[in-house]
Amino acid sequence: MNKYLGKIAATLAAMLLSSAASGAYAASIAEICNNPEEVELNQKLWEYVQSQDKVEVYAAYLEACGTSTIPFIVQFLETAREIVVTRTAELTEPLPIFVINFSPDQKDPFEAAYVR
Amino acid sequence: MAKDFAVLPAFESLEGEELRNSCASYADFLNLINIAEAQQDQVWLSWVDRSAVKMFPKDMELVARWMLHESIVGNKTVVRNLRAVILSVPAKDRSGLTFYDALVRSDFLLGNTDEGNLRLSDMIDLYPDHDASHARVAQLYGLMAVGQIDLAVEIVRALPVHNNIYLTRAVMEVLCRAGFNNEVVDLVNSTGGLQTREDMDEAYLYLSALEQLGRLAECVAEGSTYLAQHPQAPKVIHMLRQVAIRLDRLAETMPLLTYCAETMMDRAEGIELRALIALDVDDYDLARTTMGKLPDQNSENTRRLWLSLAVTDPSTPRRQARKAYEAYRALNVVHAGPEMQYCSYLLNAARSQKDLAKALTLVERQVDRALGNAYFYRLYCSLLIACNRHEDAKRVFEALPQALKDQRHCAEIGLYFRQAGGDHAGVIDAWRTHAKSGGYRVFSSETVPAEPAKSPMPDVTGKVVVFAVVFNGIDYVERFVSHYRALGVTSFVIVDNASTDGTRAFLLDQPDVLLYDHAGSFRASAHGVMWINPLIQLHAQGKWALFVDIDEHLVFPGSDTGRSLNDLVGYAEATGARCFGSFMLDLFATAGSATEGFGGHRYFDKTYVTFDTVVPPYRSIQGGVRGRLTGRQFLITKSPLVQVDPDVIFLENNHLHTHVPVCDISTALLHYKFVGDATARFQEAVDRGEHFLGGRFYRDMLARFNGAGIRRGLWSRKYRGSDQLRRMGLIKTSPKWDSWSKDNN
Repeated sequence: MNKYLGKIAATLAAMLLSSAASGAYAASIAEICNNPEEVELNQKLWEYVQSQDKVEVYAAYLEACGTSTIPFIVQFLETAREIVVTRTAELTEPLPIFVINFSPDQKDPFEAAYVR
Repeated sequence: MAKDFAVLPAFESLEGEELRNSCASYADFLNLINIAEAQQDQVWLSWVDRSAVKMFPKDMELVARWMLHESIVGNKTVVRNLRAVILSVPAKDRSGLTFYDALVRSDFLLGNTDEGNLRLSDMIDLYPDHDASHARVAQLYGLMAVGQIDLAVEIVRALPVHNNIYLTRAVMEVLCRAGFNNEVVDLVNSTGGLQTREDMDEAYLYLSALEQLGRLAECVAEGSTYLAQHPQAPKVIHMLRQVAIRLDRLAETMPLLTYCAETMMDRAEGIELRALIALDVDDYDLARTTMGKLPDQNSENTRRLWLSLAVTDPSTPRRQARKAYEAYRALNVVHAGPEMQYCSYLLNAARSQKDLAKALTLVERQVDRALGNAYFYRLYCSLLIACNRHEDAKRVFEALPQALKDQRHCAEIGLYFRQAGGDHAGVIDAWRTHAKSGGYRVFSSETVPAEPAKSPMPDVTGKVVVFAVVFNGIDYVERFVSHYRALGVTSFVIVDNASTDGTRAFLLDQPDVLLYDHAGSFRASAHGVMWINPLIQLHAQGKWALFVDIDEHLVFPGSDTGRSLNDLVGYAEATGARCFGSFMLDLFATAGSATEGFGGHRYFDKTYVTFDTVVPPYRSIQGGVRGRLTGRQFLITKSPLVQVDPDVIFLENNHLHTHVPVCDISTALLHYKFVGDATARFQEAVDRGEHFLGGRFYRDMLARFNGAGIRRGLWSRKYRGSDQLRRMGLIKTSPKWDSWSKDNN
């Protein structure tokens, strides 16, 4: 029994260490947007947002990354703002609320999740 | 360049179209926004905001103003998106007053009250000359929406003098929600009174405060005067209608409600009111036809009305009521209105514990939508108690903010738990205060005392005195006095309400009857309670008062085997109890036995549901033949026998009185409603309109009772005595009472 529990503990410790080592495992979207070293990841995130092509996902991007001062992200934000403003002006129905989640272990690490 | 307008044309007019087509430059849009904002024209604002930002999507000043307008009308989807846009702009580019104002409003609308409070404080510091009263309004509503009533009250108390009507309305709403109803009434009265109010929301809040204070007669009087001047005020109309129902003064209010409906003929509100009026007089076909004329069958008001019809019309099958509820809930309204309506119906018309459990499940799912509504928590706790989850009910109640606990509906839950914990002296005292402020119609009735029919009156003797009000009860009185004399009663106090059938002469001849006369309205005296309460205090101080209707014969464990009422109350006194739970057991005759008088009325329906409730006598019972005949459940729980002291007040006939400890044995009232020419009596009751809701019970009965007996079957039993009721679990006894009564006889 003790041997079995020990095995589980060792596996859990290894998992925790590996996630800490990856650096990105626990990162939120806001942290990614504000990290100048995550150029590639930020590019992927913006591509993901564009691929979804939904006003609610652009709005979620603005909410998560709106405080970023990284120059290329500032440009993404400007585009996102324009899209959200013009599409919101066309809205006739209430929209669901989305947030963008990041799961580095997945093939597609970004996912827009419905909140309510 | 667009033509300059001092006043905007109608949006759909030709001029309106021209104006829209001519808007091209930034200055045109800005000018139009300014005018629409000044005129608070939502249609124009909605168009111009959207059109402007589509043309100038990078102009954050325009976006901020649009967000401000959408915050004011509460359009959360748009505000959420625009807030994300504005907050993504570098702080230096959004530091103006417009941004502050818009962001503050959006904070409160979206429930970010901490951010909103900080931002509002910054705004006031940075722009001391700016009128922040609108942002304050948003703050107060935002705090109320998230339940931070205490903070809202604190802000209201610190507000400087102002004359902004929106802020006044918000202040009144905060004070109402916090239970400071006297302050709301004083605020309105010190500034010209209700009749000077143009704003119907203020009028509604003032009347709500009166209603909460239990000043129901004033509420009806002032509301009626207001509506005569401002008949197109739906919230005030509905408040007046509800209070009139509670006071049973709908008949007097009906002409005014009809007038209000006529003035709104061209509006959905007018059709809705006409449908409600039809429901109130039980004209369900008319209600249905009227509701069919509503232009939007999918609107919230329409779905609510269809549910009202389904739960009021007794011929509606239960599955249809459920469907009406589901259709209303399908609108995904943010409040728990559908549950409050449907589950109240399930509770009040419960035929089994299953109905109660079903109602509780539905209510529990919507706790997040309660929005601080006192009635919701009353219903929720009542259902938990009815389903024997007393501890859960206590937890729910204790977690409520104090302001909510103090409101009328919730205060009775608090008193219920206190008495259950044994604090009878404290609860007796608290009920005396609560009853007067609790809006019971007995305190709003307008009547004079009954007059002695002869002088001198006989002395009152014995430990138990019977009290009753009678109108044309010649078929009943002889049997009535014999029944109670046989149980040991030696004094009766009876008010004759101008009988014309010889009842009065019969009673005058009885040496043990103290007869009083009252020719006034039975309904205006809260169904005789205002006549009886002072007589109980006068004649039964220190004794026991048995307040019954003339067709009700009290039975209790052992009553038909020699136990007297003196035994019963002696037992109660020995155990510290001061009242007995009871219920009406409707006895009926079949076609074969209908001609045998009282003896022929020996059958009753056997199915009842019993459950704990929050008001005395704390145990409710529902069922009987009346439910089978009419499809509707009526209140049959009673508590007619009470030990009298200066604090005891009957509040709703003999159904409810102020708190006294309840005995562990219970009683039943054999109810001979169908004896003699019942059809003629029912017709007379409907014609007089002196019974509750114009005699709804009698209307229902007339529609279904053919006067030639009632069918019995497997669902019925022949009445064989009090021991049978005990075996069926319909009355309770206790080993102590059984041995006590044997020891004392």
